[in-house]
Amino acid sequence: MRAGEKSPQNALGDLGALSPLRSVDAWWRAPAPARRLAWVRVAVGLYTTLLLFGHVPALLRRSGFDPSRFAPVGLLTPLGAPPDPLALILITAFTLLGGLAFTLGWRYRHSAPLYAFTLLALTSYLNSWGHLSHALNLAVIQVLVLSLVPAADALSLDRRAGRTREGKGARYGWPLRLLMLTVVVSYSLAGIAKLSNGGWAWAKGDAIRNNVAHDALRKLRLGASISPFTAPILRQPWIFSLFAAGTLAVELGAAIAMRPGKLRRAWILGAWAMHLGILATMGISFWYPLTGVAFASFVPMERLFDRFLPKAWRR
Amino acid sequence: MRNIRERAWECVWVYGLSLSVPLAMLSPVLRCEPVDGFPLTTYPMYSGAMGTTSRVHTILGITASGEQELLTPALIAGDPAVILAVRTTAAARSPERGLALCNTVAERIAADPDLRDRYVELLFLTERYNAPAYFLGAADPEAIKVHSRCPVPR
Repeated sequence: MRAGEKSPQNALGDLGALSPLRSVDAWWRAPAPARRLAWVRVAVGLYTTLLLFGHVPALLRRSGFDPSRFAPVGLLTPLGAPPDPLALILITAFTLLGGLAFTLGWRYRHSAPLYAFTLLALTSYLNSWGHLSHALNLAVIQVLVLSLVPAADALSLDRRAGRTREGKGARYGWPLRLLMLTVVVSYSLAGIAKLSNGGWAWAKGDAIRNNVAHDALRKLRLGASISPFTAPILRQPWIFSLFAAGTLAVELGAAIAMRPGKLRRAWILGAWAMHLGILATMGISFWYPLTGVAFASFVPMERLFDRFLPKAWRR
Repeated sequence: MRNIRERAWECVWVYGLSLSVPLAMLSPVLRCEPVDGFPLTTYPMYSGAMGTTSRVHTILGITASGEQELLTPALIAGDPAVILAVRTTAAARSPERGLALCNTVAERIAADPDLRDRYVELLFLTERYNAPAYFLGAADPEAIKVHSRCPVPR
Protein backbone atom coordinates (compact mmCIF):
# COMPACT_ATOMS: atom_id res chain seq x y z
CA MET A 1 0.00 0.00 0.00
CA ARG A 2 1.34 3.43 -0.90
CA ALA A 3 2.01 6.01 1.81
CA GLY A 4 -1.14 7.79 2.85
CA GLU A 5 -3.43 5.39 1.08
CA LYS A 6 -6.49 4.34 3.02
CA SER A 7 -8.13 0.94 3.00
CA PRO A 8 -10.44 0.51 0.04
CA GLN A 9 -13.96 1.74 0.33
CA ASN A 10 -15.91 -1.33 1.16
CA ALA A 11 -17.91 -2.66 -1.75
CA LEU A 12 -20.62 -3.56 0.75
CA GLY A 13 -20.17 -0.31 2.65
CA ASP A 14 -23.82 0.71 2.76
CA LEU A 15 -25.05 -2.58 4.16
CA GLY A 16 -24.43 -2.06 7.87
CA ALA A 17 -26.35 -5.16 8.92
CA LEU A 18 -23.93 -7.32 6.97
CA SER A 19 -20.85 -6.50 9.01
CA PRO A 20 -19.33 -10.03 8.76
CA LEU A 21 -19.52 -9.72 4.99
CA ARG A 22 -17.94 -6.28 5.24
CA SER A 23 -15.05 -7.78 7.21
CA VAL A 24 -14.57 -10.49 4.63
CA ASP A 25 -14.74 -7.90 1.87
CA ALA A 26 -12.21 -5.67 3.64
CA TRP A 27 -9.84 -8.65 4.02
CA TRP A 28 -10.30 -9.97 0.49
CA ARG A 29 -9.84 -6.55 -1.11
CA ALA A 30 -7.15 -5.28 1.25
CA PRO A 31 -4.74 -3.13 -0.76
CA ALA A 32 -1.47 -4.35 -2.21
CA PRO A 33 1.09 -2.59 -4.39
CA ALA A 34 0.61 -2.87 -8.15
CA ARG A 35 4.22 -4.02 -8.43
CA ARG A 36 3.59 -7.07 -6.25
CA LEU A 37 0.97 -8.39 -8.66
CA ALA A 38 3.14 -7.32 -11.59
CA TRP A 39 6.09 -9.33 -10.28
CA VAL A 40 3.85 -12.39 -10.03
CA ARG A 41 2.85 -11.83 -13.67
CA VAL A 42 6.51 -11.59 -14.69
CA ALA A 43 7.44 -14.74 -12.76
CA VAL A 44 4.49 -16.82 -13.98
CA GLY A 45 4.82 -15.49 -17.55
CA LEU A 46 8.54 -16.20 -17.70
CA TYR A 47 8.06 -19.67 -16.21
CA THR A 48 5.25 -20.73 -18.54
CA THR A 49 6.96 -19.29 -21.63
CA LEU A 50 10.24 -21.08 -20.88
CA LEU A 51 8.31 -24.25 -20.02
CA LEU A 52 6.48 -24.09 -23.32
CA PHE A 53 9.74 -23.45 -25.17
CA GLY A 54 11.19 -26.53 -23.50
CA HIS A 55 8.14 -28.56 -24.53
CA VAL A 56 8.34 -27.66 -28.24
CA PRO A 57 10.17 -30.93 -29.16
CA ALA A 58 7.57 -32.98 -27.21
CA LEU A 59 4.74 -31.10 -28.96
CA LEU A 60 6.24 -31.76 -32.37
CA ARG A 61 6.90 -35.44 -31.59
CA ARG A 62 3.24 -35.87 -30.66
CA SER A 63 2.18 -34.66 -34.09
CA GLY A 64 3.85 -37.82 -35.44
CA PHE A 65 1.98 -40.18 -33.09
CA ASP A 66 -0.61 -42.64 -34.35
CA PRO A 67 -3.91 -40.63 -34.34
CA SER A 68 -5.66 -43.58 -32.64
CA ARG A 69 -3.75 -42.65 -29.47
CA PHE A 70 -5.37 -39.21 -29.40
CA ALA A 71 -7.61 -38.92 -26.30
CA PRO A 72 -8.54 -35.22 -26.18
CA VAL A 73 -8.91 -33.42 -22.84
CA GLY A 74 -9.46 -29.83 -21.74
CA LEU A 75 -10.03 -27.35 -24.51
CA LEU A 76 -9.56 -30.06 -27.15
CA THR A 77 -12.30 -32.36 -25.81
CA PRO A 78 -14.68 -31.62 -28.72
CA LEU A 79 -12.05 -32.64 -31.32
CA GLY A 80 -12.42 -36.06 -32.92
CA ALA A 81 -8.87 -36.11 -34.33
CA PRO A 82 -5.56 -34.42 -33.54
CA PRO A 83 -5.07 -30.96 -35.08
CA ASP A 84 -3.08 -30.55 -38.26
CA PRO A 85 0.71 -30.43 -37.60
CA LEU A 86 1.02 -27.08 -39.42
CA ALA A 87 -1.73 -25.59 -37.24
CA LEU A 88 0.09 -26.95 -34.19
CA ILE A 89 3.36 -25.27 -35.23
CA LEU A 90 1.58 -21.95 -35.88
CA ILE A 91 -0.28 -22.05 -32.54
CA THR A 92 2.96 -22.93 -30.73
CA ALA A 93 4.79 -19.98 -32.31
CA PHE A 94 1.85 -17.67 -31.58
CA THR A 95 1.69 -18.85 -27.96
CA LEU A 96 5.43 -18.29 -27.45
CA LEU A 97 5.03 -14.72 -28.71
CA GLY A 98 1.96 -14.38 -26.48
CA GLY A 99 4.04 -15.53 -23.52
CA LEU A 100 6.59 -12.85 -24.29
CA ALA A 101 3.84 -10.19 -24.50
CA PHE A 102 2.31 -11.48 -21.24
CA THR A 103 5.65 -11.36 -19.42
CA LEU A 104 6.57 -7.91 -20.71
CA GLY A 105 3.05 -6.54 -20.27
CA TRP A 106 2.56 -5.49 -23.90
CA ARG A 107 -1.03 -4.69 -24.95
CA TYR A 108 -1.94 -6.78 -21.91
CA ARG A 109 -5.74 -6.45 -22.02
CA HIS A 110 -5.80 -8.30 -25.32
CA SER A 111 -2.56 -10.26 -25.39
CA ALA A 112 -2.96 -11.84 -21.93
CA PRO A 113 -6.36 -13.54 -22.50
CA LEU A 114 -5.12 -14.71 -25.91
CA TYR A 115 -1.99 -16.16 -24.33
CA ALA A 116 -4.03 -17.87 -21.60
CA PHE A 117 -6.35 -19.38 -24.20
CA THR A 118 -3.61 -20.69 -26.49
CA LEU A 119 -1.54 -21.94 -23.54
CA LEU A 120 -4.59 -23.87 -22.34
CA ALA A 121 -5.04 -25.29 -25.86
CA LEU A 122 -1.38 -26.40 -26.15
CA THR A 123 -1.19 -27.89 -22.66
CA SER A 124 -4.48 -29.68 -23.38
CA TYR A 125 -2.82 -31.08 -26.50
CA LEU A 126 0.22 -32.25 -24.48
CA ASN A 127 -2.15 -34.09 -22.13
CA SER A 128 -4.30 -35.60 -24.88
CA TRP A 129 -2.21 -38.70 -25.53
CA GLY A 130 -3.37 -41.06 -22.82
CA HIS A 131 -1.60 -39.54 -19.84
CA LEU A 132 -2.67 -36.60 -17.68
CA SER A 133 0.31 -34.78 -16.24
CA HIS A 134 -0.57 -32.92 -13.04
CA ALA A 135 2.47 -30.65 -13.18
CA LEU A 136 0.92 -28.03 -15.46
CA ASN A 137 -2.57 -27.54 -14.01
CA LEU A 138 -1.81 -24.87 -11.40
CA ALA A 139 0.42 -22.84 -13.73
CA VAL A 140 -2.25 -22.79 -16.43
CA ILE A 141 -4.98 -21.80 -13.95
CA GLN A 142 -2.79 -18.99 -12.57
CA VAL A 143 -2.13 -17.69 -16.09
CA LEU A 144 -5.91 -17.73 -16.72
CA VAL A 145 -6.50 -15.70 -13.53
CA LEU A 146 -3.65 -13.28 -14.25
CA SER A 147 -4.95 -12.69 -17.77
CA LEU A 148 -8.22 -11.33 -16.35
CA VAL A 149 -6.84 -8.95 -13.70
CA PRO A 150 -4.83 -5.71 -13.92
CA ALA A 151 -1.44 -7.40 -13.58
CA ALA A 152 0.34 -5.10 -16.05
CA ASP A 153 -0.31 -1.75 -14.37
CA ALA A 154 3.36 -1.77 -13.31
CA LEU A 155 6.60 -3.28 -14.62
CA SER A 156 5.18 -3.36 -18.11
CA LEU A 157 5.60 -1.95 -21.58
CA ASP A 158 2.01 -0.72 -21.32
CA ARG A 159 2.93 1.34 -18.26
CA ARG A 160 6.03 2.78 -19.95
CA ALA A 161 4.00 3.67 -23.04
CA GLY A 162 1.31 5.35 -20.93
CA ARG A 163 -1.39 2.86 -21.95
CA THR A 164 -2.08 2.10 -18.30
CA ARG A 165 -1.36 3.58 -14.89
CA GLU A 166 -1.29 2.40 -11.31
CA GLY A 167 -4.68 2.55 -9.61
CA LYS A 168 -5.63 2.22 -5.97
CA GLY A 169 -4.13 -0.67 -4.03
CA ALA A 170 -7.52 -2.42 -3.74
CA ARG A 171 -7.28 -3.31 -7.44
CA TYR A 172 -4.24 -5.50 -6.79
CA GLY A 173 -4.93 -7.14 -3.42
CA TRP A 174 -7.78 -9.48 -4.33
CA PRO A 175 -6.11 -10.94 -7.44
CA LEU A 176 -3.15 -11.89 -5.26
CA ARG A 177 -5.49 -13.55 -2.75
CA LEU A 178 -7.27 -15.37 -5.55
CA LEU A 179 -3.92 -16.66 -6.82
CA MET A 180 -3.10 -17.81 -3.28
CA LEU A 181 -6.47 -19.53 -3.12
CA THR A 182 -5.73 -21.47 -6.32
CA VAL A 183 -2.61 -22.84 -4.61
CA VAL A 184 -4.53 -23.71 -1.45
CA VAL A 185 -7.33 -25.45 -3.40
CA SER A 186 -4.82 -27.45 -5.47
CA TYR A 187 -2.96 -28.83 -2.45
CA SER A 188 -6.20 -29.41 -0.52
CA LEU A 189 -7.61 -31.42 -3.43
CA ALA A 190 -4.48 -33.60 -3.48
CA GLY A 191 -4.92 -34.24 0.26
CA ILE A 192 -8.64 -34.99 -0.12
CA ALA A 193 -7.86 -37.46 -2.94
CA LYS A 194 -5.50 -39.38 -0.64
CA LEU A 195 -8.09 -39.60 2.11
CA SER A 196 -10.95 -40.56 -0.19
CA ASN A 197 -8.92 -43.12 -2.22
CA GLY A 198 -6.58 -44.47 0.45
CA GLY A 199 -8.34 -43.53 3.69
CA TRP A 200 -6.47 -42.61 6.86
CA ALA A 201 -4.43 -45.80 6.33
CA TRP A 202 -2.59 -43.78 3.67
CA ALA A 203 -0.89 -41.92 6.56
CA LYS A 204 0.81 -45.14 7.73
CA GLY A 205 3.19 -44.95 4.79
CA ASP A 206 2.70 -48.42 3.26
CA ALA A 207 0.63 -47.06 0.36
CA ILE A 208 3.22 -44.45 -0.62
CA ARG A 209 6.07 -46.94 -0.22
CA ASN A 210 4.30 -49.41 -2.50
CA ASN A 211 3.49 -46.62 -4.97
CA VAL A 212 7.11 -45.44 -5.04
CA ALA A 213 8.35 -49.03 -5.48
CA HIS A 214 5.82 -49.71 -8.26
CA ASP A 215 6.67 -46.45 -10.05
CA ALA A 216 10.44 -47.14 -9.88
CA LEU A 217 10.05 -50.75 -10.94
CA ARG A 218 8.01 -49.99 -14.05
CA LYS A 219 10.49 -47.26 -15.03
CA LEU A 220 13.36 -49.71 -14.72
CA ARG A 221 11.54 -52.43 -16.70
CA LEU A 222 10.75 -49.95 -19.47
CA GLY A 223 14.42 -49.09 -19.82
CA ALA A 224 14.31 -45.71 -18.06
CA SER A 225 16.48 -44.62 -15.16
CA ILE A 226 15.36 -43.84 -11.61
CA SER A 227 16.59 -41.41 -8.97
CA PRO A 228 19.81 -42.60 -7.31
CA PHE A 229 18.05 -42.13 -3.94
CA THR A 230 15.04 -44.35 -4.74
CA ALA A 231 16.52 -47.78 -4.00
CA PRO A 232 18.33 -46.76 -0.75
CA ILE A 233 15.18 -45.02 0.55
CA LEU A 234 12.98 -48.03 -0.31
CA ARG A 235 15.24 -50.12 1.91
CA GLN A 236 14.21 -47.92 4.90
CA PRO A 237 10.45 -48.52 5.24
CA TRP A 238 10.06 -46.36 8.37
CA ILE A 239 10.88 -43.21 6.34
CA PHE A 240 7.61 -43.57 4.43
CA SER A 241 5.52 -43.05 7.58
CA LEU A 242 7.21 -39.65 7.93
CA PHE A 243 6.73 -38.88 4.23
CA ALA A 244 3.05 -39.80 4.35
CA ALA A 245 2.30 -37.83 7.52
CA GLY A 246 4.25 -34.83 6.21
CA THR A 247 2.49 -34.95 2.83
CA LEU A 248 -0.96 -35.07 4.42
CA ALA A 249 -0.05 -32.25 6.85
CA VAL A 250 1.13 -30.03 3.97
CA GLU A 251 -1.79 -30.81 1.68
CA LEU A 252 -4.65 -30.77 4.18
CA GLY A 253 -3.12 -27.81 6.05
CA ALA A 254 -2.72 -25.65 2.96
CA ALA A 255 -5.44 -23.24 4.10
CA ILE A 256 -3.14 -21.81 6.79
CA ALA A 257 -1.13 -20.18 4.01
CA MET A 258 -3.99 -17.73 3.43
CA ARG A 259 -3.01 -16.03 6.68
CA PRO A 260 0.21 -14.00 6.53
CA GLY A 261 2.95 -14.64 9.08
CA LYS A 262 5.19 -17.43 10.32
CA LEU A 263 2.68 -20.21 9.61
CA ARG A 264 2.48 -19.16 5.96
CA ARG A 265 6.27 -19.17 5.66
CA ALA A 266 6.42 -22.56 7.38
CA TRP A 267 3.78 -23.98 5.02
CA ILE A 268 5.59 -22.71 1.91
CA LEU A 269 8.83 -24.24 3.19
CA GLY A 270 7.00 -27.49 3.97
CA ALA A 271 5.38 -27.66 0.52
CA TRP A 272 8.71 -26.94 -1.17
CA ALA A 273 10.45 -29.61 0.94
CA MET A 274 7.70 -32.08 0.01
CA HIS A 275 8.36 -31.54 -3.69
CA LEU A 276 12.10 -31.85 -3.09
CA GLY A 277 11.38 -35.18 -1.39
CA ILE A 278 9.27 -36.31 -4.36
CA LEU A 279 12.12 -35.37 -6.70
CA ALA A 280 14.65 -37.29 -4.59
CA THR A 281 12.55 -40.43 -4.06
CA MET A 282 10.66 -40.67 -7.35
CA GLY A 283 12.61 -38.48 -9.76
CA ILE A 284 9.37 -36.60 -10.51
CA SER A 285 10.00 -32.88 -10.87
CA PHE A 286 7.19 -30.46 -10.14
CA TRP A 287 9.16 -27.43 -11.32
CA TYR A 288 6.39 -24.90 -10.69
CA PRO A 289 6.60 -25.25 -6.89
CA LEU A 290 10.28 -26.27 -6.90
CA THR A 291 11.30 -23.00 -8.58
CA GLY A 292 9.08 -21.13 -6.11
CA VAL A 293 6.95 -19.57 -8.88
CA ALA A 294 3.82 -21.36 -7.62
CA PHE A 295 4.22 -19.52 -4.32
CA ALA A 296 5.06 -16.10 -5.81
CA SER A 297 1.66 -14.62 -4.89
CA PHE A 298 2.38 -15.25 -1.18
CA VAL A 299 5.62 -13.27 -1.22
CA PRO A 300 6.11 -9.47 -1.29
CA MET A 301 8.20 -9.83 -4.43
CA GLU A 302 8.56 -6.08 -4.95
CA ARG A 303 10.55 -5.86 -1.71
CA LEU A 304 12.82 -8.68 -2.83
CA PHE A 305 13.46 -7.62 -6.41
CA ASP A 306 12.93 -3.88 -6.76
CA ARG A 307 16.38 -3.19 -5.32
CA PHE A 308 17.95 -5.00 -8.29
CA LEU A 309 16.04 -2.96 -10.86
CA PRO A 310 17.23 0.43 -12.12
CA LYS A 311 14.75 3.12 -11.03
CA ALA A 312 13.63 3.77 -14.61
CA TRP A 313 12.51 0.13 -14.92
CA ARG A 314 10.30 0.16 -11.81
CA ARG A 315 7.27 1.14 -13.84
CA MET B 1 -25.77 7.05 -9.71
CA ARG B 2 -22.87 6.27 -12.02
CA ASN B 3 -20.61 5.74 -9.01
CA ILE B 4 -23.03 3.21 -7.49
CA ARG B 5 -23.33 1.39 -10.80
CA GLU B 6 -19.54 1.25 -11.16
CA ARG B 7 -19.15 -0.06 -7.61
CA ALA B 8 -21.84 -2.68 -8.15
CA TRP B 9 -20.20 -3.80 -11.38
CA GLU B 10 -16.81 -3.94 -9.69
CA CYS B 11 -18.30 -6.01 -6.86
CA VAL B 12 -19.85 -8.45 -9.32
CA TRP B 13 -16.57 -8.78 -11.21
CA VAL B 14 -14.38 -9.21 -8.12
CA TYR B 15 -16.60 -11.77 -6.42
CA GLY B 16 -17.79 -13.42 -9.61
CA LEU B 17 -14.21 -14.29 -10.52
CA SER B 18 -13.16 -14.94 -6.91
CA LEU B 19 -15.93 -17.50 -6.44
CA SER B 20 -16.03 -19.07 -9.90
CA VAL B 21 -12.30 -19.96 -10.03
CA PRO B 22 -12.17 -22.01 -6.79
CA LEU B 23 -15.60 -23.51 -7.52
CA ALA B 24 -14.41 -24.59 -10.97
CA MET B 25 -11.28 -26.10 -9.39
CA LEU B 26 -13.42 -27.98 -6.86
CA SER B 27 -15.95 -29.13 -9.46
CA PRO B 28 -14.17 -32.44 -10.35
CA VAL B 29 -14.59 -33.69 -6.75
CA LEU B 30 -18.12 -32.33 -6.36
CA ARG B 31 -19.44 -34.75 -8.99
CA CYS B 32 -21.05 -38.05 -7.95
CA GLU B 33 -18.15 -39.82 -9.68
CA PRO B 34 -15.01 -37.65 -9.35
CA VAL B 35 -13.47 -37.11 -12.78
CA ASP B 36 -9.82 -36.32 -13.44
CA GLY B 37 -9.22 -33.92 -16.32
CA PHE B 38 -7.21 -30.96 -17.49
CA PRO B 39 -6.79 -28.30 -16.21
CA LEU B 40 -9.44 -29.21 -13.62
CA THR B 41 -8.25 -32.26 -11.74
CA THR B 42 -8.82 -34.34 -8.65
CA TYR B 43 -5.03 -34.80 -8.22
CA PRO B 44 -5.40 -38.59 -7.84
CA MET B 45 -1.73 -39.46 -8.41
CA TYR B 46 -0.34 -41.96 -5.89
CA SER B 47 -3.42 -41.57 -3.70
CA GLY B 48 -4.67 -45.18 -3.84
CA ALA B 49 -4.20 -47.80 -1.13
CA MET B 50 -1.84 -49.83 -3.25
CA GLY B 51 -0.66 -53.30 -2.28
CA THR B 52 2.78 -54.78 -2.81
CA THR B 53 1.90 -56.64 -6.04
CA SER B 54 2.96 -54.79 -9.15
CA ARG B 55 2.19 -55.76 -12.74
CA VAL B 56 4.61 -54.26 -15.23
CA HIS B 57 3.97 -54.33 -18.98
CA THR B 58 7.08 -54.07 -21.10
CA ILE B 59 8.69 -55.05 -24.39
CA LEU B 60 12.00 -56.88 -24.43
CA GLY B 61 14.43 -57.28 -27.29
CA ILE B 62 15.73 -60.82 -27.98
CA THR B 63 19.26 -60.98 -29.35
CA ALA B 64 20.53 -63.61 -31.80
CA SER B 65 22.10 -65.48 -28.86
CA GLY B 66 18.72 -65.56 -27.05
CA GLU B 67 19.41 -62.92 -24.40
CA GLN B 68 16.54 -60.66 -23.31
CA GLU B 69 17.32 -56.93 -23.12
CA LEU B 70 15.33 -53.92 -21.99
CA LEU B 71 14.41 -51.40 -24.68
CA THR B 72 13.85 -47.67 -24.06
CA PRO B 73 10.67 -45.58 -23.64
CA ALA B 74 11.49 -43.81 -26.94
CA LEU B 75 11.53 -47.15 -28.80
CA ILE B 76 8.36 -48.38 -27.09
CA ALA B 77 6.23 -45.23 -27.35
CA GLY B 78 8.04 -43.00 -29.83
CA ASP B 79 8.77 -40.49 -27.07
CA PRO B 80 11.36 -40.45 -24.28
CA ALA B 81 8.69 -39.71 -21.63
CA VAL B 82 8.47 -42.96 -19.66
CA ILE B 83 4.87 -42.32 -18.63
CA LEU B 84 3.81 -42.48 -22.29
CA ALA B 85 5.51 -45.87 -22.57
CA VAL B 86 3.59 -46.97 -19.45
CA ARG B 87 0.28 -45.87 -20.98
CA THR B 88 1.12 -47.30 -24.40
CA THR B 89 1.92 -50.78 -23.09
CA ALA B 90 -1.01 -50.77 -20.65
CA ALA B 91 -3.41 -49.92 -23.47
CA ALA B 92 -2.09 -52.69 -25.75
CA ARG B 93 -2.76 -55.84 -23.75
CA SER B 94 -5.42 -57.25 -26.08
CA PRO B 95 -3.98 -59.77 -28.64
CA GLU B 96 -4.59 -57.52 -31.69
CA ARG B 97 -3.32 -54.33 -30.08
CA GLY B 98 -0.41 -56.17 -28.51
CA LEU B 99 0.75 -57.52 -31.85
CA ALA B 100 0.26 -54.11 -33.48
CA LEU B 101 2.40 -52.44 -30.79
CA CYS B 102 5.04 -55.17 -31.09
CA ASN B 103 5.25 -54.63 -34.85
CA THR B 104 5.39 -50.83 -34.48
CA VAL B 105 8.33 -51.11 -32.07
CA ALA B 106 10.01 -53.66 -34.37
CA GLU B 107 9.74 -51.16 -37.25
CA ARG B 108 11.35 -48.46 -35.09
CA ILE B 109 14.22 -50.82 -34.30
CA ALA B 110 14.57 -51.82 -37.97
CA ALA B 111 14.85 -48.12 -38.88
CA ASP B 112 17.67 -47.61 -36.37
CA PRO B 113 21.04 -48.58 -37.95
CA ASP B 114 22.58 -49.09 -34.49
CA LEU B 115 19.89 -51.50 -33.33
CA ARG B 116 18.49 -53.34 -36.33
CA ASP B 117 21.18 -56.03 -36.25
CA ARG B 118 21.10 -56.36 -32.49
CA TYR B 119 17.62 -57.86 -32.04
CA VAL B 120 15.99 -60.69 -33.96
CA GLU B 121 12.68 -60.71 -32.11
CA LEU B 122 10.60 -58.71 -29.62
CA LEU B 123 8.55 -59.97 -26.71
CA PHE B 124 5.61 -58.03 -25.28
CA LEU B 125 4.82 -59.29 -21.80
CA THR B 126 3.44 -58.54 -18.35
CA GLU B 127 5.60 -59.36 -15.35
CA ARG B 128 4.29 -59.66 -11.79
CA TYR B 129 6.53 -58.58 -8.93
CA ASN B 130 6.44 -57.87 -5.23
CA ALA B 131 7.55 -54.26 -5.80
CA PRO B 132 9.10 -53.40 -2.39
CA ALA B 133 10.78 -56.84 -2.29
CA TYR B 134 12.36 -56.16 -5.69
CA PHE B 135 14.44 -53.41 -4.10
CA LEU B 136 15.39 -55.70 -1.22
CA GLY B 137 16.94 -58.21 -3.61
CA ALA B 138 14.01 -60.32 -4.92
CA ALA B 139 14.57 -59.19 -8.49
CA ASP B 140 12.95 -62.14 -10.32
CA PRO B 141 9.30 -61.79 -11.39
CA GLU B 142 6.74 -63.97 -9.59
CA ALA B 143 4.91 -64.60 -12.87
CA ILE B 144 5.22 -63.72 -16.55
CA LYS B 145 2.48 -63.55 -19.18
CA VAL B 146 3.53 -63.19 -22.81
CA HIS B 147 1.05 -61.16 -24.87
CA SER B 148 2.75 -61.31 -28.25
CA ARG B 149 6.08 -61.77 -30.00
CA CYS B 150 7.15 -60.47 -33.37
CA PRO B 151 10.29 -60.59 -35.55
CA VAL B 152 12.41 -57.52 -36.25
CA PRO B 153 12.18 -56.92 -40.04
CA ARG B 154 15.41 -57.31 -42.01
